[in-house]
Amino acid sequence: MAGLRPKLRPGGSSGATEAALLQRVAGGDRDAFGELYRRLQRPLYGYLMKLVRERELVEDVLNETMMEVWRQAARFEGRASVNTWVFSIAHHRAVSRLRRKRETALDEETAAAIEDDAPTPDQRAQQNDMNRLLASLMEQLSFEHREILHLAYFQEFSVQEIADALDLPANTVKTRMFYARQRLKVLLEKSGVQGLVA
Amino acid sequence: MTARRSDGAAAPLSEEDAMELLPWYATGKTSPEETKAIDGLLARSPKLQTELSLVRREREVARHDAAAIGEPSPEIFQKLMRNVEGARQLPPLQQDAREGAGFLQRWLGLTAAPALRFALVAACLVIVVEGAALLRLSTTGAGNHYQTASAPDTTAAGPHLIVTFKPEAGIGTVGGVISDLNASVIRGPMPDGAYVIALQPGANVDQAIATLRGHGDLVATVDRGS
Repeated sequence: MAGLRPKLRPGGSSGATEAALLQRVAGGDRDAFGELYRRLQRPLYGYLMKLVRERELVEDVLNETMMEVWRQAARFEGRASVNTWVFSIAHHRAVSRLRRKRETALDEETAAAIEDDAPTPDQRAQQNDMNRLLASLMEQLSFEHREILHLAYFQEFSVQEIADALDLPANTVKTRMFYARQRLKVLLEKSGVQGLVA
Repeated sequence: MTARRSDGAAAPLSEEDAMELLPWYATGKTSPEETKAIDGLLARSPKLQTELSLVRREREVARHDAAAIGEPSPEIFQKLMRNVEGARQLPPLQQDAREGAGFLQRWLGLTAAPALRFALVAACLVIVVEGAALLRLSTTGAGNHYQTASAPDTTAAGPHLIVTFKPEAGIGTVGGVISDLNASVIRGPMPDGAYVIALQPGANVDQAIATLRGHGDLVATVDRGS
């Protein structure tokens, strides 16, 4: 199987919707599965890297997620979008693997400890790059806070789509986002940044 | 300024509501009503404008950061396609099965703790097995020798496995796993929370154990039974 790439056969599924592809996957169509993987691999990989952070583990979870998609394809009921459904599987797989690994995935406590290593104002001046600072501070957020920022900002999921993917009420999604951003503001202030925060 | 909020309530959108929704406003994921209301609030609130600037910067950073991650190696796809080869797919859920499950959920009041749910379902399964055994005895005759009602069925079943499920495992998913193996619960929960399940006669025990262990998010332990 060397050199195998997630590509389509000619005249295949490039124009098909994810739902149509999933329907074909449910019938055992491997080409459709390959196309679905091609479409989802990058966003899923980015999402899992944000959460799990270890490349090897991310690859395992990605594999497990897509295997679950293969197994469960016929049981997709269309209550949410295919995207949301697959992210939901990835979320649960990631949580399960991290729990098994007994990794705290940088919870708030760990993040608090890391705050001591956050750039001082002087270091920040040397860094002279607000975006890099912000990126490093985002990495200090908890698993849940990183996840919600990523889903909203990068995956551009709506409140309801995040609620579906994480199995949360919509109001909890908004509250969690609010607290994630609050936490980020606190970290910014501790790094000496003023004026950006309302 | 009013808007039908995303939680369905038709109520004025306050500045605090708008503040919460800004991340989705920035990605164009608010409803038209919410967008209009936020536009109005933004026009007269410097605080909200500053907040939107920060949201946009956060978004830019998050996007740039995630885009830099790249994509998985081709080996993952190769491995995946190897795994798919011969991997079993679950059949669709039947409408009547779903309705049955809904009835069971209502009847059993399945809002209780997971351990209690398993106990209730296991008890029901035992009753069904016992009932079937009694019916068989009454229709075929048990002969002149004594035997318990459950003995013939359980000994006639295939190899046994002792399984413990994780507390967070949902009953529907667990039931699906067991039925995919064509197995049935014949005893449990035992004091340690374990269940004894019987496979079909002639079933491949190693494969069944591997399948159960593959459901690492549901299954805590699997051991061979008697």
